[in-house]
Amino acid sequence: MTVGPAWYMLLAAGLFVIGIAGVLTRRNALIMFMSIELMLNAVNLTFIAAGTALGDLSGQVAVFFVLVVAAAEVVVGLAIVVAVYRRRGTANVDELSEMSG
Amino acid sequence: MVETPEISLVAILPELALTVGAVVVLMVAVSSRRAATYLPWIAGLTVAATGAGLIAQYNDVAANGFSVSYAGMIVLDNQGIVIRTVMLAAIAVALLVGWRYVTGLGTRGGEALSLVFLSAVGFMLMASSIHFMLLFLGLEVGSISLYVLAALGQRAKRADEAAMKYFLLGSVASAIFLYGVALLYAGTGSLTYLGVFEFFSGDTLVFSDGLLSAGVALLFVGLLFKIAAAPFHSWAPDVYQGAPAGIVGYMGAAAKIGAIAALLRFVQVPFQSVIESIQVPLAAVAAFSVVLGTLYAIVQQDLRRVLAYSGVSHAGFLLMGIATGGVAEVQVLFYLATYVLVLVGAFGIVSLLEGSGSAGSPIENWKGLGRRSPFLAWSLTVFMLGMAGMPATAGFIGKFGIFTRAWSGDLEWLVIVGLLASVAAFFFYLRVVVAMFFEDGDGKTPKLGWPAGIGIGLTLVITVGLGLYPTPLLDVLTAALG
Amino acid sequence: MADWISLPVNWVFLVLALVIAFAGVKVVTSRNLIHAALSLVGVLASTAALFLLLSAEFVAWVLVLVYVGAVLVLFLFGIMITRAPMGREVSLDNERRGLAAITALATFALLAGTSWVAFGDVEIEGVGDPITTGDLADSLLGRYLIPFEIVSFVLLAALIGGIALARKDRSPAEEAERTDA
Repeated sequence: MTVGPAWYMLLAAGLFVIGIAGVLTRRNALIMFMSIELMLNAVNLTFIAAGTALGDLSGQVAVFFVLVVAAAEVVVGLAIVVAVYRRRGTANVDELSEMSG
Repeated sequence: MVETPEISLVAILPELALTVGAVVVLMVAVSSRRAATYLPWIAGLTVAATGAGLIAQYNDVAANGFSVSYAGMIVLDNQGIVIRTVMLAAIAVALLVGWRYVTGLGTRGGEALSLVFLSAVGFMLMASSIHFMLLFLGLEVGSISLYVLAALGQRAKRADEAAMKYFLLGSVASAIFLYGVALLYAGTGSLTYLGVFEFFSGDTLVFSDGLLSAGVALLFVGLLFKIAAAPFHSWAPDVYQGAPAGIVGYMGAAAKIGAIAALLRFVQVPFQSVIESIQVPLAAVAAFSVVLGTLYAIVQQDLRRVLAYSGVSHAGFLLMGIATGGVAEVQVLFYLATYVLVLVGAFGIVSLLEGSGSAGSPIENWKGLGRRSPFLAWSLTVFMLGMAGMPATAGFIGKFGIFTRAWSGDLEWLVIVGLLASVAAFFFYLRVVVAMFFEDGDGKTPKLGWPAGIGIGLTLVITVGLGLYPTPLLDVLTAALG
Repeated sequence: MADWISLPVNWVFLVLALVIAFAGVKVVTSRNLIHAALSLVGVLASTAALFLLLSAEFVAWVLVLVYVGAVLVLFLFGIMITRAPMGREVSLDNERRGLAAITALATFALLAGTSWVAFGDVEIEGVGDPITTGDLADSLLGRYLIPFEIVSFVLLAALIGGIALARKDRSPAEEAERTDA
């Protein structure tokens, strides 16, 4: 017996959760950002595992789209981080904190 | 062999018009030195062309009924047309009242205008998509454009914080939504609404399956993030307070339109047969949003945070309509249309008082505005009463409609919560009115230009007109959707 | 159990899964940004290898090209441009640890349990008969034509955003010069 899709999806669930934990605990924008990439990577793994288990093409097509969107998000996100850094001299989200309530 | 899907241009006409507009704006902005003089004309033409596209779509649906094209990805029906019309109205009013934001950006004005159109394309696609991947891509086109708009031309420290928070939490929401899609795909083997619908209606008790439940829950959570429903609202107050005043109204409105359109379709098609399982959590989120939004809005000292928390409670009212299942679409759409227009109008007034790139607007600044600028003070009063649901405004008709539907849909407890919150809400909506008319202060005197005047006047007419005489629109909506 | 151990493919999976788990934790706990970015490479490369195990060749190579080739370079640029501290830094994480740990564990338990219930006994059959790149291309330009077009909108929005945000403002003097020219 070989490893079934359940193993892959279990791994993906773990990776997704690690990503969520990263977003919640870290305060450096770049690290939060990498954690989001981990979450998207978990999504990709789920799509591929499910697609293979179902013998369906859509899973791979979906991953293709997710990859493009993730790359686009990285471009915009890093542009925002760099723009903020140029004006503030920090990439730590908590140091920007002025608002509350 | 590639099988070309059936292509129906009429199904994507408004999106096409907006795309062409966005590209033309971009090209003119980089190639012409006098671009600023052309931009208003291009913007006006784009809005007009989109409107024409919507009329063509309406005629097509009237003649042929609803149609599905692009290999079962896009549906052309009256509901989608109504939502896109709301979107178009929101753009038109937002551009009128926020034109100073576009011009104030200088050389980046063209890019901002182009992104406004692109984001509208994305959110409009969410209204007509019946495929989860297309829905996700529409959501991303819209969201990515809004992230950039939130960060463009910033000087205030709060604005940076807002842009960063909006981006990070928005991306997390997208990832959660996407994981929901992936789990749903793993469980049902389908990415189309129809496939999921058939799966659920075929097998009776599959929904108790854990994987599917988790997938559906994550799917909804992702969208609830986007409409800022509690407890997924933590980004909203900071973003509403910090993002540029000239565009933040549109940002809030556009994201809500897109996500509500998707949620409405969710309860109509893919999850229709399992609505009982979804109803309770949705109603709980609705009640929590209404209560939390109202309570927090009461203690805010900044009008923009008040509007943000009121947005949370409005998300709750909209969810109340959605929780009844697919039967309340007329009421939900009426509520959505009137709320987003008032939101854009109110933020238009904020940007006139504070400046279009400003962040924050303490209640202090509004004191004495009734003397300095009666028109704006009275307009804001009407908008506030409209949001509160005062009789004789469109907000009242909207709330009344949703309450009736929820009551007859066995959600009586939710209606009672909503009624109590609506009464309490008058307190914070009227606080700024009291500050404007009954307290003295010598803040800035806003300068009202004619585009902003037209935009605010239009919103006023709609708010009061639909409040006094809503029957024609409701009839049209009922006829179109019923 | 014995036949499970005897299959090399299971060993490969096990090793890759451990690498992913270890590197993933490293990404979110590392105090050094460069280490975090490099751990992310480890996660992504191992994921690409898993894709190959699942016979999804095309997306595996796209993942390597787009992520390891482009996105990671962007991240490294971002780290260097913001001159984020290269060495150890204590202030990189905040105080919400307990809450995060509870949320994370609860979510993991929920998702892991449900994945196991749903897919516990499914065997992969498609291995050896992979979906070819040609099939994928047919699908992208056929059934998925509209999403394929919309993806270009995502890229356009990101392009405009990247340029508009990162571009330096001209000083008023430069602006005047440009208008005169």
